[in-house]
Amino acid sequence: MIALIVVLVVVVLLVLGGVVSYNRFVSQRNTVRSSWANIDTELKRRYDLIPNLVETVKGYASHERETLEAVTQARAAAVAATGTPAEQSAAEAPLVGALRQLFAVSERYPDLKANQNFLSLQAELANTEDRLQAARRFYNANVQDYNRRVQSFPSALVARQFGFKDEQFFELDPAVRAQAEQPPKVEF
Amino acid sequence: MGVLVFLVVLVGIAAVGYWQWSNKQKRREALGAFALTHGLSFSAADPGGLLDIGFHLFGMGQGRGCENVMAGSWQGLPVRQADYWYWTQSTDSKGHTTRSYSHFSVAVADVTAWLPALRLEHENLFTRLADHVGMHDIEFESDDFNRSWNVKADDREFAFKLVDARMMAWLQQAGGAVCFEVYGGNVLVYSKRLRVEGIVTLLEAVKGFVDHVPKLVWNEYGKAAS
Repeated sequence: MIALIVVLVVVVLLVLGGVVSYNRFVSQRNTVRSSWANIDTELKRRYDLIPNLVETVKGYASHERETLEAVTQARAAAVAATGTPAEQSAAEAPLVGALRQLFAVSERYPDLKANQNFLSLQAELANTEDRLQAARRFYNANVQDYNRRVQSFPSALVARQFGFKDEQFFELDPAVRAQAEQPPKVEF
Repeated sequence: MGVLVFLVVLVGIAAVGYWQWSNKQKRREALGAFALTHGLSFSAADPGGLLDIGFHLFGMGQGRGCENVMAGSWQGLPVRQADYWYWTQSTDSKGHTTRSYSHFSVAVADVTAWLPALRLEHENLFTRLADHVGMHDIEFESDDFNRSWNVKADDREFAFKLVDARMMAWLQQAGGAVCFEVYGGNVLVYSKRLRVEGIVTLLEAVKGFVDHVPKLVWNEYGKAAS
């Protein structure tokens, strides 16, 4: 009889442990998803700023058509990418490169650099970049916590049983901000 | 013979008491002089209610107090610096109670922002053990940083806004033996009680910390007072 009670208690404890572990996985996965949604919001904010930026630059440097088109195309490709974090990351890289090029080009046009609209777009882009990087760090930390449980014993048993799999990290080059905030070069 | 022993003990207690009082007076005078030299006001008591700020450190122990409070501007940043202590009481199996005191030097900066509570402490044996059994603090992208610092915050998202790469690098380089807390409109830096010569380090640390708060945090939660 005592043996039966012991077995029953052990089984109840194991089931309870499994339920707690499962619920924690669900909660963590939701946190990962909501933190990814934050990144998505910031990426969209960045996409929204780019057409204005391109138009403003065009007003002063219309013959830099190649650079402006590269930004527009990279933006369109990034907007269209709605896949996994790794795919999104791959789609963002050309946009970051094109934006860097755009800011490098703007260095050659003092009137553009003094333009209030350009300055405010540049500041807004830098602010968005900050928010994006903070959201990315938060997302990656949540993924790390979640993946650690997916891979560790004994939670890995629950993960395997209920199909909780590793989530992908999101990498994003932060060079846009550095480029945007570069002090103006003075040439004599 | 018994009377003699009693007198010796009495004189010993009085000598220790005098020595402690004398040291306290010397420290008070030295801190007063420090405040004068650096253009800060000085008060032996705590007229501004420093301990009313809801820092975790200020809630520790069963009793607490602070004294030798300096206030003013440090490189343009409104600060208060003080000696702080708290005590804990324990009772053994025979019913004897003992109090143990922990003493700190603290510096509090005012910022015109409202920041969620966050603590940055150095990792120690207990926090490392806790990490190993799955009770992790907030972990960042740098392993070196994670090994050195234990970060706790209810609002994890805020932690990732505050502790960016620049802040991490600064903490690794200049964090030394001090710990940090942010809460509401204040930033706290503290360490084990410092000699008067060490107070500058504490004030430099609070100024350095505020200077390294990312622009994003000021944009979203307010501005630095300086």
